[in-house]
Amino acid sequence: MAKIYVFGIGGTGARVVKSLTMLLASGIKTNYDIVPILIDPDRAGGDLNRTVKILREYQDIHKEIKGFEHNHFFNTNISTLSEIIANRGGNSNVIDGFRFELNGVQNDTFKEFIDYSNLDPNNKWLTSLLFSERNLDSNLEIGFKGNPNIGSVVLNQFTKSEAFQAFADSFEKDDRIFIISSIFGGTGAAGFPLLLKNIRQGFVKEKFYAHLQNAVIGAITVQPYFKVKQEDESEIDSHGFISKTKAALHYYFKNVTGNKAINSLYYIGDLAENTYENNQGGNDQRNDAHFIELASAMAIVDFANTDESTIRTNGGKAENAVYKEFGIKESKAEINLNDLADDTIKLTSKNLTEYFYFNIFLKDKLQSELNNPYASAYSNKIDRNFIDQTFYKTLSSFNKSFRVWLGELQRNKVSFSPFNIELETSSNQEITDIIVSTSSIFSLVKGVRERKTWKDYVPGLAKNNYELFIANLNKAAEKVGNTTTNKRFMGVFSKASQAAVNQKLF
Amino acid sequence: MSINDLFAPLFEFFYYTVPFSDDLFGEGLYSSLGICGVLISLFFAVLFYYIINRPSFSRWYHWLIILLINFAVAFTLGVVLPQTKFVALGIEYHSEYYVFGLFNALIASLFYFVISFLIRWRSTHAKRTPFPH
Repeated sequence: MAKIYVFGIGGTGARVVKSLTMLLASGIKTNYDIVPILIDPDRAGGDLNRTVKILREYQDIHKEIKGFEHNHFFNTNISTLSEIIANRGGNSNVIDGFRFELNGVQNDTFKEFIDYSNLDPNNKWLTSLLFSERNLDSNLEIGFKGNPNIGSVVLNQFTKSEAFQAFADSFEKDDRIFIISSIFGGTGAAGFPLLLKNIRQGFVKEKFYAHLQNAVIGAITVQPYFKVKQEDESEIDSHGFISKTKAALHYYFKNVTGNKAINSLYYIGDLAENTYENNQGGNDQRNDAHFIELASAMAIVDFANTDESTIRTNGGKAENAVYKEFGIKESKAEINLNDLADDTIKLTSKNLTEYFYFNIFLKDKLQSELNNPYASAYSNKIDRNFIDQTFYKTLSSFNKSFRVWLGELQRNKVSFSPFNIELETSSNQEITDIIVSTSSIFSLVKGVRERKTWKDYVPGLAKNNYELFIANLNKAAEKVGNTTTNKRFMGVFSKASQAAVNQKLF
Repeated sequence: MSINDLFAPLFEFFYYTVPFSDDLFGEGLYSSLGICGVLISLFFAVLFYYIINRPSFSRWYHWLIILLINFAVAFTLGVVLPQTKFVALGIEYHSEYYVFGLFNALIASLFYFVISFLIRWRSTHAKRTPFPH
């Protein structure tokens, strides 16, 4: 299958990839294998590490159920660049997992990175013109802290790296590239045009790659959607976000869209009413998931579903480039599925809802409902032993991340709150889980009324709520039949969630 | 072999007392009670496994409730059918009706048990009821 290489640059890149992983887990299709490559100098970045964790869990789950026709969750293959290289018989050690490791940024200041002390006096003067003293003394280990002028120098390393060459070697004719970056920060703002320029040149370490030069490339450039608290010691100041965005857009007008380097460019942004803690980087940089990131992930799905006949590249120049903006029906503080545009509803609502029900059933009901036929009437049983196995533990951990992600989307501004859930938080206000406090589970989708049939008006006749879900599990189990427990489990829940949502909601 | 001959050993294995049992046999009541026992047990098993057939009514104690109803119906039949017949013939029995009714209900419960295990595999929501394979 053809691949989409998804470059997630900086903290925003990592968070959008996280949202993409959640969408893919819920069964949204792209018809491509996804190869995420996260570029972030901030090795300890909380958002980056959370994303890497869920990507690994996704892979572990997908591996067990790959190609199983009865299941639609975790259907898309997510690969690391190393795996693709290994499959082609290459050196798979060029990149560790999903994250590209920038050399020379650990414990180094920017001054040390550019070997400032050994520059001749003229170059020192030039450097002083381009970079402030604070820039030069900036520690690179936790990122570029909103300084694209630093980022553009350091990230140049990526395009000269073995990993980039391995990427170019593995890139095939029908593959595509998607680049996620924020326009108002440091890493993303610097990395996107740099990466794009190098891909379009088609040369990597003096070797020419025609497929790469003529690749179909999409990108999303995320405009300001949050502010950070004002702190004198911090190099990040959200007052500069808008002016940085304007400057970058002006630059893109010449060097991204103006020179026909991009096939599909997606723009997204928000009023930036929410204020995050001013963490310059490191493990503390764990921002709540935001609807903008989810919508950005949908851009990747939209890009994957765009017919190649409408977006072609010839001689490194995009033909009929497409520019898109994301919009919702109405701007308000809290949005639910009904507020999304019709195409977005079609793309996401059903899948997200199905996964939501699958998720809450596993959290709240599975352990007490193991006597039902779907679990116990087949030779490969879903029992306590299965629950103790690695597969289920990995799935539980992923599902918890999904619930926390939903909770964060709800808590953030703008609040994306598709389901009636309550939030469980720790003492430091981190969301640890969500709570469903009603047994009327089909009333949980906001703005969508539970569908009724004549049976619902005859007392005791209709199956409702969890009983209906279990009834669908039992029916699905008959269709899925006997196979390995992991496949059977996912197939049964995938079919049952689909059936329940079809019957009661969409 | 008549149906009466077929059911007689089963009934008489559990309960045989002269002349009550001989009269039951002579009047061909074993055949009607046997057929009724099988039919009501089949009805209740089908009711439980295929008609009610829902997750919230698929535990062993739900199955037991249906068995008890089956038991009660079979007991009533086991008392009423012979009594009606023998009273009409002017034959007088007392406690025999009730003891026989109990055994008739027990035999119907056996039918219900056997039929349950024969048909439960096709049930969607109760294929493991009353207990696992």
